[in-house]
Amino acid sequence: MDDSRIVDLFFERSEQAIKELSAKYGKLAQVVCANILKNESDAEECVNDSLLNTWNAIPPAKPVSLCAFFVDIARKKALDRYRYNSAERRNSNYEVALDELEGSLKGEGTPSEECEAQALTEAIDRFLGKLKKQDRIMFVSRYYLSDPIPVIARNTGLKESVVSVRLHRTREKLRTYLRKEDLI
Amino acid sequence: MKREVISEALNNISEEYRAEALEMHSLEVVSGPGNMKKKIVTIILAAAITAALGATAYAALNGMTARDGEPGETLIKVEPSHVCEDVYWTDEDTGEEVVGSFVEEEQTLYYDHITKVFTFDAMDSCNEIEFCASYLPEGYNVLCGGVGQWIPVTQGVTDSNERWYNIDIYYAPQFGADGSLFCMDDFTSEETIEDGDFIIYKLYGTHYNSDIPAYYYLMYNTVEGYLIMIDSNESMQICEDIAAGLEIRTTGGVIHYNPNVSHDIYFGSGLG
Repeated sequence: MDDSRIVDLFFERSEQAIKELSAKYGKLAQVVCANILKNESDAEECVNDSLLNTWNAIPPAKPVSLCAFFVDIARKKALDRYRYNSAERRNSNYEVALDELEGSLKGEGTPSEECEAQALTEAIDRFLGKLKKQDRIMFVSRYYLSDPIPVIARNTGLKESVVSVRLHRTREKLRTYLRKEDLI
Repeated sequence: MKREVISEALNNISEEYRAEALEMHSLEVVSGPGNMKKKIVTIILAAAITAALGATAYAALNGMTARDGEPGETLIKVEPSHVCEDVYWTDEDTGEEVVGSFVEEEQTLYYDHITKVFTFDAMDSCNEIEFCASYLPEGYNVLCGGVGQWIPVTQGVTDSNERWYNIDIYYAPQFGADGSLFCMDDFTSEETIEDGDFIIYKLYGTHYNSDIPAYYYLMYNTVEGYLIMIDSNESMQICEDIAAGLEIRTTGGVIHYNPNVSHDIYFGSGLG
């Protein structure tokens, strides 16, 4: 069933919408949540909660990309669960990915001089718009979806070493870009 | 920059870019976790109550044919010269990373002790798959892959290198109508089980030119055209336990028949 029909079902308040959404994007959301949580049952709970949240959000929301909308809800659920589960654990794919990015974006200023998250989001969006599509996909896969390098390599058809090198270069470019923008 | 700020910023990147990356994911599950496990367990139970078939000289199965090698059967395989692209190395003078390509020369390989040959009904293309092992035997160093990882190949070895296991994937389009999956190990017995879309082929013997035990567990999906091979030099039980815990799904990639490469693929001893 195509996405627009599923959204229509949500608007019609048909519970079939939940089934269709779960069948189409449930596994994908599960993978994204498991990347963060490293725990399949916790990830499954997050996906189930996200189905209910999506039910409550649509309508009034009418997402352009149902997939991105649903996965975003699931991802945020997983982050909440992750923070709740263990503030100290630093071994999930999410933490590893964040460590990489934090290392590249280390600034010289004091914390009080650091930019606000919203300004950073806008700058990252502008930066992503300047990248080649494949580099952009790899960046978002790694740092938003927390995909492990082998998964990105497989999805893009590139060798893992090539993915690592290109991500490293993209992080370097991002650092240069953010410096130019006086954000770090 | 604080990681909390980075995390918060990443949460809100453009929906367009998120959708673009998500589009790349193709996570259609060929056999769901429950289904696959149940299916394989069923197959194993069926095997337990099925009389052993003994050595089979020739077995024509749906989509896959197995035969013993003829005495002295030799296969000469020519690996054509090809260009290896996107090769990275560090320039010794500048210390900079360089990307380039090189030409691999043509090679002629001789296999003169062929004992088992599998051929497949020709398929032009099939879905690429990956697997996730929920069980791997303990006491091994995992060289690649591991429990809970989605991956196309897994290897484990003991510290002493005396015991190992492998999980590999092959596809019918790799062999075409003219190619084969062949081996030089010596086999003393085998079992074949057909169950739904799957053919399970078990081989018991010793590795080529040695007395090291060899156990192969082949699962061929006749509809999807993929073959998962699990081998161990310890026991068939290990292969069966690994198989029972495998989840399988498509990656979104497609494997095509390539007329310009060799269609004969060797499987056999050890780690590689």
